Amino acid sequence: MRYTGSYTDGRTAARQEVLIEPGRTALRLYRPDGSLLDEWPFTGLLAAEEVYGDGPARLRHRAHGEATLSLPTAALLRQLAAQGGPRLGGHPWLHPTLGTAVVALVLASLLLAAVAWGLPRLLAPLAAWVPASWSEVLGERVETQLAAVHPVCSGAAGQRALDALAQRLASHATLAVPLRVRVLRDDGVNAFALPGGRIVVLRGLLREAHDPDAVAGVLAHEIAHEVYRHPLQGLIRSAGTRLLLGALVGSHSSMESIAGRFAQSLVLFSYSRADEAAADALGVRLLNAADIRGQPLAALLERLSALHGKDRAPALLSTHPLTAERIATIRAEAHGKGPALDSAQWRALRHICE
Amino acid sequence: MSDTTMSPATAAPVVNPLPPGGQSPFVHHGRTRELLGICAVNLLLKVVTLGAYHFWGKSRVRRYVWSHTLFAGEAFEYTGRGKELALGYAVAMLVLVPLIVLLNLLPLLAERAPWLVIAVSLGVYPLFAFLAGVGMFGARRYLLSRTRWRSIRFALTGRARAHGGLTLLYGLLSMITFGLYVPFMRNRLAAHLIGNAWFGSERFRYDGADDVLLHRYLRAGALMVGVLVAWVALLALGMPLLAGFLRGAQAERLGALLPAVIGVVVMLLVFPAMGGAWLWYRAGELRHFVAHTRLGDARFALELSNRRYIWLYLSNLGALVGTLGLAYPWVVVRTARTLTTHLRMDGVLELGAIEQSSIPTPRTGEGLFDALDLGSI
Repeated sequence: MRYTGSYTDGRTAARQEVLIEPGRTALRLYRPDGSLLDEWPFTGLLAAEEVYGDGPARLRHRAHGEATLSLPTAALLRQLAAQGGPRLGGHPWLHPTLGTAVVALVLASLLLAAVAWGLPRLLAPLAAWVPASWSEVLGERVETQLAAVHPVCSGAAGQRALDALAQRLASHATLAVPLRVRVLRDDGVNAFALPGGRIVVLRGLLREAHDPDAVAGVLAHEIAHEVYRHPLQGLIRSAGTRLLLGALVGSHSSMESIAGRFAQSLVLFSYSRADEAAADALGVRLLNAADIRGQPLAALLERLSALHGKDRAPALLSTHPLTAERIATIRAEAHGKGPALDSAQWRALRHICE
Repeated sequence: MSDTTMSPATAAPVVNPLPPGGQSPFVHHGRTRELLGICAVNLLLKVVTLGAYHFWGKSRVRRYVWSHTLFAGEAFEYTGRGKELALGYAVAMLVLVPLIVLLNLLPLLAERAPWLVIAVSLGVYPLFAFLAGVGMFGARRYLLSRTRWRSIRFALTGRARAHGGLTLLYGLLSMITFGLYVPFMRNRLAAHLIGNAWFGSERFRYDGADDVLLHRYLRAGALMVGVLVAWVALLALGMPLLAGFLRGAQAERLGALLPAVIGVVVMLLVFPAMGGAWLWYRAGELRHFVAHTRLGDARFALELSNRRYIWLYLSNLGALVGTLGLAYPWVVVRTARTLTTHLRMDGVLELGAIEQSSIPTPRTGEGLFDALDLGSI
């Protein structure tokens, strides 16, 4: 059985009609006058692209450079496959992509490993390499942005009490930069450590705390973050993750960016747990060293987690993922006895925003 | 089998590609359904590989589009590989990532070295204009080198650096002339890209004049201003009429709202007017680019009306936005179909005289183009 097709030799753009006869080990190409034009062995035969349905199809040969054989239908390919010859064209949708998908998958896992394994190990050295003055500038910028939305509370007596408490806790830690604590007029129950020794306490925390010792506990936790330079590492981590995953994703269509963001938040979440545990441990040690009770902090966290799931899920829990073990650890490790502030200081601090 | 037995095509007939009757020799017969299948598999693999499959998927789509676009009865062939795109992207990232990190760290130096900050800020835009030009040229060179028709490769000669320099220079001229130079810039960049393109041993030529485009550009500007003036006049006339219709407190309330209303209306009108005028210009520009392109003795013409072009663009945009990109296969197929049915070729192309390209092909492609997000397809 002979099939019709056309042939370009890869040297000029001229095309000639050919008749193709599949032999036992090779395709024989004949000119319309019946003379033999060329012979293409089965080994080395390949399809130029995927074949859809009944064709058309194009063939090339490894040993014949850029010469191309164009077939109006896929009948020849079907016969070749039926007689045990090469299977060409593959499944138009799946077959040719599987090998490359594996390569892409390996590539993706490598980059993901770089983000999940390499980046956290690089964070501490990278953060240590950043000069203290840079992190102070960074922290100042972030605080300025926050303060633009939520004004800083400026009660003088309250600020004095807060500074005294911060100094008392920090005197047992080694900090590269001076500590600056501010209260912002925001009803969120939360506190943050910013780069460069800046700590922000939201007014909502002072209201919800009921006890100066609980505020001291949160403050000690944030000071611990500062000691470990977690805020700076966090900035580097999010920028690095975004950069690496951005490089990986390559394009920014909506579906892809959803996939990318999902991976990113997974990675970020797994980091923050380790950081929180470290800050908890050092925080409790600072409380103990300053001889401040730790139980009120545990009580505050328990009270907030009881609210969890209701409408008022407090922000403290969303940025400080809470587990029963964390509360149990605080209870077990804390052995301070004294109060954090006297009643006059506590009153001043509670009214710092008025 | 020895080489001497295979001396094909020595007496090959030159096939005249022109079908009788002045029909378009270009045909696209891709099917949305098939391309949708490819895109669905691509998306799945992209999600599984966190996006890394992007480059392979892109090659796959191109292979489909090229192989379903015919000229004179023979389909084009795309020979690019996903790994070439991935490699090109990685190389571009090596250039861009340090640059981006540097730019992000710059504000930290604002107090220490303000002069450095100013110098770098001033240098950034020229640098990115240059890189955009380089990326554009590199992408075109890759695309042409991976496109074949009747086994003959396309190619682009010249230097990417030169295109980057031209982009930078013309961009500066456009800025200095408040945009008046834009049509010149676009025509000259097109001339650089088309005039350096080859099909095998045959070079494309471009002889499009600047002033025709400038004329159209000015008319587009006038059109935009005219539409705006008409709207504002209508508004200015309509408002007092409306105010006279309403009385007392109602009119006062309307008066208080007036600035806001005018603001909204201007917002609603300026952008469509600008976009419409720009698309109208682009329709003529595209016809101009095609009409002044020659290959051998052959000339081309795109017989696509302004209205058709603008409708094609807007409906594609609407479909993509409305379906969050799911309509992409439909957009690709219908765009290819519309462009091919309106693309004509006149004159004779001596195909037997066109030999295989001897221009070296680049190994990787499109890195900068992809990384800077300069376009699609």
